[in-house]
Amino acid sequence: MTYFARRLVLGLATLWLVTLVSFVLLQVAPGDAVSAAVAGSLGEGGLTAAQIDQQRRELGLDRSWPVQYASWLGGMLRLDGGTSLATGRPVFDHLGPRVAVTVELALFAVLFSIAFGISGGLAGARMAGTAIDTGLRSIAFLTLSVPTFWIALLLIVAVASWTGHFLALGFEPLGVAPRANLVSVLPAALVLALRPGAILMRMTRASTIGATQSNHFVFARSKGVALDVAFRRHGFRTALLPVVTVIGAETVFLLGGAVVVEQVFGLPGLGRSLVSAVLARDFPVVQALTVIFAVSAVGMNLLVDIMYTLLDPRLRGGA
Amino acid sequence: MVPLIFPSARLAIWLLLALVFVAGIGVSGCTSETDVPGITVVPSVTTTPVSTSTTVGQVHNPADSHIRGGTLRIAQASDPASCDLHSASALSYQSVHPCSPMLSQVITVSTSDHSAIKPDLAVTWSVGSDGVTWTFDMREGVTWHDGTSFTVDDAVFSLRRAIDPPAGIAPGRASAIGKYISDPFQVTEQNGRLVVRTDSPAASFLPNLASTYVSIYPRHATDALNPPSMTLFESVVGTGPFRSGEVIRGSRYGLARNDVYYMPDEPYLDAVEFYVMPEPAVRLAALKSHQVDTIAIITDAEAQSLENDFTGRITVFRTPSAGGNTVQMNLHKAPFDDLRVRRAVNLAISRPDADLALGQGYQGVILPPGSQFALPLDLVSQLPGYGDVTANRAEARRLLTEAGFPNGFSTTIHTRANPFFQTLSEFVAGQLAQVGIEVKVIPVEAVAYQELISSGDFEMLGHSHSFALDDPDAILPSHYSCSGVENYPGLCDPQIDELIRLQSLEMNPDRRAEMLWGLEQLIWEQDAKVWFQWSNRRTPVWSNVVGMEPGGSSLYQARNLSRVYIEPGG
Repeated sequence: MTYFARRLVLGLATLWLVTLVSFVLLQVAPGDAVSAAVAGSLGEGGLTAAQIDQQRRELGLDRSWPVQYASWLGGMLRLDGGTSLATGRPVFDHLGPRVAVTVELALFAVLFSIAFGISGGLAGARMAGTAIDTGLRSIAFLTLSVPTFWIALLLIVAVASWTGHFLALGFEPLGVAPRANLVSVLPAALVLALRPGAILMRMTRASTIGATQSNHFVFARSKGVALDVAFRRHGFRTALLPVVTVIGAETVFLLGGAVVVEQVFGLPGLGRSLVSAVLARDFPVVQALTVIFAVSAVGMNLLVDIMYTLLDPRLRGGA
Repeated sequence: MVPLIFPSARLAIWLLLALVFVAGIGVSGCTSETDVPGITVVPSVTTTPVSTSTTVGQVHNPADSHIRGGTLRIAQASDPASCDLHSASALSYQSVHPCSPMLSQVITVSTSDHSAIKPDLAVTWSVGSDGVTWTFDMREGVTWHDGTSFTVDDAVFSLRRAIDPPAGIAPGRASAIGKYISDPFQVTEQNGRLVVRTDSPAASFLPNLASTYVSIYPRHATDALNPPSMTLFESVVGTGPFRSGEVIRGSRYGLARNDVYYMPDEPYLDAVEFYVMPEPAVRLAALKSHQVDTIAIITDAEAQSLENDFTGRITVFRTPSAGGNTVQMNLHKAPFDDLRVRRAVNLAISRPDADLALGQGYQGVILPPGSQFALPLDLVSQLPGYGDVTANRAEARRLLTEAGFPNGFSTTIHTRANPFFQTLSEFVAGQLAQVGIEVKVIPVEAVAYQELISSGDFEMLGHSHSFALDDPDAILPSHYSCSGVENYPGLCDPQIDELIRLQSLEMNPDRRAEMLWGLEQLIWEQDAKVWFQWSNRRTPVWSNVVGMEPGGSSLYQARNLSRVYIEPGG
């Protein structure tokens, strides 16, 4: 079995395990979709016990856990995500438009974080020990210390107070109103990019400094190789290896961060769907989202592995 | 030693410049005064695909003082889960508020006087000499949003469906009318009129029929689809003043004027936009920056802040709410199985302090103050818990000593993990500390809390109730009968059950009121669910929005919005 085939099998096993664990966790959590619907009306449900039981039967919640899980898994293998317990709509109909929102948000956030992280890291390495380096490191430290939720809220409230413009007023699809779409997505992407950008900056700075202090770099320089050539051949490339790992890991993390940012900016993406679905105990939607997030994580890890082999010739033999 | 100059420095500078450039695009997009869909530029123009501006295109009607045109913008916390108000999926007000302007009912209640029944699709009605046969003369010339004509058969279909929803639709609050109509076929069409035969004389039949949730849907557009068309906001076919407009799920729900609404000259507005903003702080910021005209619920502190900072620009409506704050004791758990302990808890809570801590409220006991059936204030003031606070607390300590707790005791109070419930529970804990009862407040996530109160696994609850319908039949059986689903303390008294049944049969309002006053005092004497404050509902609205009544005493009241208009400026 090749390296990638092994990774693929491991990835699929991980996927199955993730769906099983998330299903069990949701079952163990107190309440179900029916009690969530009653609780959602400020505790004044007014439904009789018989009506609540009837609703549980209608939704199939009176079946045992294994039966419910097997039914869901069978549906997923046929690419049928089932029906949302909260809205009665097909899960994939519900989530389809939201995938595009989160993908767009994550893409912009990755671009911002790479731009901010690598440029800041290189600048910090280039000017290590100077006031600029200290300033950049302080910004990174501050960004990592302050919760994204708070930064997002502060940004919205501050911009609304100072300029009268509101950053969280509705969302327009990219294909319908591109400019309005960017206006609603870019501020959220900037906030989402802060944390991974700060991590990337620190990593880039450290690995670049490390690479330029390594023996092979010093040896190349002592042989008379020009600084820019030595850096391109022996410094920057070596420094990129850990940076790529961080980019991969942080891209997966971005999907988690999107939960918070989408909630605050009112963007109708997967993160907000996940919050709503968990609160509503809407397990078909939670399960579908779990699969989407898990596939993203596994896919991103595979991509990082491929990037490794491209960047580091020593790994190609094992591929 | 790091080299001072290498090519990456140039790369770094270029990347930083690129970042600034991209960020600049975002900022310039935010500040541009162009007609970007979904973006409002202060002070004047709102442009969205389905709306006109709040000031552009408005026309003064010389025959009336109202202004036609404009878009009303409302922020709420979540999407409408369903517009099928017959189903349990649509219990929340986030479903009722956006969906109800598209729908009509047979009869409805006045938004200014919740006890007043008003015509809607029915213009007149009467009850036969048998006291059980109700006849409704229905409005003629009413058109559904899809252009077809409304018929009495649609009303028959809808009421039968509300009583007995088809398979797959869990019954919601609309099914309450089933208490009076055991067989859906007791709803019929006779000689072009809607005829409903109740099982027995029922004083609360009309108020329950007037509930927001008993909305009327077209048979032709409901039977054909599974799930039913009314589940989705954008496919609702109703007869209300607005029809569904553009929808972006998770973000915006638009309503557009129904040009063939049966009330001449209404609605005044061109459109209504509901924006979904999950975070309370974001909704408040949207209101303050006038990106929306109103939001649903705010705390008393937020209301005061708005009143101070936006005097004359934002009006905070403080309407008596059919709901309020309670402390509830589990009668099946010691020491609350002892009436003396429960009475001590009741006596320890200062009502004036509640007004200071939780916002101005109202005195009352079992039924919401203000209704014709609520216990008159002179009788309320004689009940335990009212009167001199110092004397009450001295009596509370005496009762605790008599019950075997001269030094008080420790207990827990479970509550929902949200600011309203937690604040009221902290208040109760502080009050009970005055008589030596040490209370630990335990906030619980909403669904887990629902499970907890259903299972009865608690000692005390700090709970805020909000009724969907201000009517004795809608409140008493659920909260105080032995089998009541919201009878969390577990109160069970056959005498109370019998009186609840008998008052429902009494058609004479005066005699019914007297029965209810006696019943309320009887329930209050049990000290199980102590209403220490009936609260105000605080609804902030920008002052240039005219006719925006906050919707009666219930948060779940339908919002017709047909007579709302927006004055220029603001």
